[in-house]
Amino acid sequence: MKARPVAIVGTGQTRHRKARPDVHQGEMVQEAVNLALLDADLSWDDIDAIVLTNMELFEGRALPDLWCSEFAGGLGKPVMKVATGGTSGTSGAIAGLLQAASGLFDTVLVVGWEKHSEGSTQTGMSLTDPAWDRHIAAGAIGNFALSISQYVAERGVTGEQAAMVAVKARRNGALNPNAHVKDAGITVEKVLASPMLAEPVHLLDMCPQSDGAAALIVVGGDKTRRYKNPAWFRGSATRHDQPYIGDHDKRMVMMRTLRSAAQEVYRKVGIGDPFKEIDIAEIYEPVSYAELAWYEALGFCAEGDAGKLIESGATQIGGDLPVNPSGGVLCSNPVGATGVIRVAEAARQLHLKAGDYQVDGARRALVSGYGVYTWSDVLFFSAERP
Amino acid sequence: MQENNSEYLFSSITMDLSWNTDVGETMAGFFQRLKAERRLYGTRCSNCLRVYLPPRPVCGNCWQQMNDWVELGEQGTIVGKTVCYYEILDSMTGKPRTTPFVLGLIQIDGADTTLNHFVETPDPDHVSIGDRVETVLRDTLQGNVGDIVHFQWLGPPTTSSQGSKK
Repeated sequence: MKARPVAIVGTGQTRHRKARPDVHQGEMVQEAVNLALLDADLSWDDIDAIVLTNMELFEGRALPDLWCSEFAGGLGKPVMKVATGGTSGTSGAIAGLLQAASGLFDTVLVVGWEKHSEGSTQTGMSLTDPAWDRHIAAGAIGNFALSISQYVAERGVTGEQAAMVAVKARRNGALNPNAHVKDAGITVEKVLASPMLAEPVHLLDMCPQSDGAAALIVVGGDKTRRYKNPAWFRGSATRHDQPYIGDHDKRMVMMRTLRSAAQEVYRKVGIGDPFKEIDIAEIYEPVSYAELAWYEALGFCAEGDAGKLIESGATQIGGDLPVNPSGGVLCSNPVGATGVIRVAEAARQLHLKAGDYQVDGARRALVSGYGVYTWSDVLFFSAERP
Repeated sequence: MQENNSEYLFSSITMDLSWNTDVGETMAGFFQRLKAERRLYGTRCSNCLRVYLPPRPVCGNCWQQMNDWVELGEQGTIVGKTVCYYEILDSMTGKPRTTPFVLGLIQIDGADTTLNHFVETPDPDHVSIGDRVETVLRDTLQGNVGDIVHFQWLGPPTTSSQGSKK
């Protein structure tokens, strides 16, 4: 059976913040769902199936689908949950897109959320191997810094170049009402003067932990006709990898799952030169240095040229390939929603609804997801119907 | 109930729970060998010859069962390192670890994969990628990963301390 064309026709996001003490998880989910339905001009009755994405242990509450299905409008409808770490949101989006593409459902809602303020990321310890890793666990930042030290040693990227990524992100975030961290006046000097967490990672090089939810409406078949600027789904790829950080020779220097997933997507949609042929990218950068490494893994530049690429300004809004015009993960990171946000922001660009950070002439958009140090999702959307 | 002078209400829950996880045949084999011989062992894939530490029952790259145990060296090389300035709890003592502390990605002589572990050194700022370290085991081995206390920094490689590559 051949997949049929499907598109994202509506998105909704909460204002992502350090804490949303005014709502519980379900109410936050409902907020994003209502905004997405409004955006797509649909009602609850129109939704055929729902995909939920959340990292349940962070809030200390098992079966988030039990607690949040009704707030997503899921009663009496098929609901499934996807949890793959940081990639949860992109994996959930892929699941929803493929459900619609299969012809099984015409209209699918994807909604992801996290309420970091409620819980403890210490529960992230439960991700690690109980026999081996927990005795020596030193947190996400230390592990990032270890991988980054190798990337810096092999490629020679500088702290200034990484800081330029953080500056781009927070300035873009200042244009986005939904962004959690925003700073229109941030400078490279301010990033480098922020506290050192784990050499060479400064506080302002890192993503925040946020409360927030994001939703997508996917439609297929005749349902796509009434929409003026659908974000057509062109292809996706997913890769998982071995669990220990030490298993991979190159780690961040060349994340093999991201490169391989991107190459598969480029092959599927016929992209030869990603830098020239992609108009905008929303990628999952948990730390400034990672964005540089992903430029190389995604083929935006040659290996070792990421520092030059950020210096060129090409990845800023107005450049040849704006990366994370929304501000990205460095501005908002409600983990279970973060991948959904990447897809939503790419779709908003193709819907021509990105407001102050709209990229002129955005017709082809790339999305990447990053999970548990090793996993990758890549998705591609276009304004052109397949 | 109003708490924290907040206009919003919340309910606070603390749990003290425990789990017992079976380490499995391969990791048990590693800990038994460590306890009996005070040596680290890895497993080798008969297809790609990659030596895994921590040892694994399966080479994921080849989807190949691994039954070959390989004796590894007592020293290794730092292939990635960071100096951490944020506070974490030492899982062995439950107390905050003194900052700064050094984390390293350590490739033990004879292994192809790396461990992330603590590097003990008098001067964190002088630790570099490529430096050599030595495994420090606790005096009375218990047969768990806590038997590896840390890796002692030795300094830049010399001809005599350079590990043999496979």
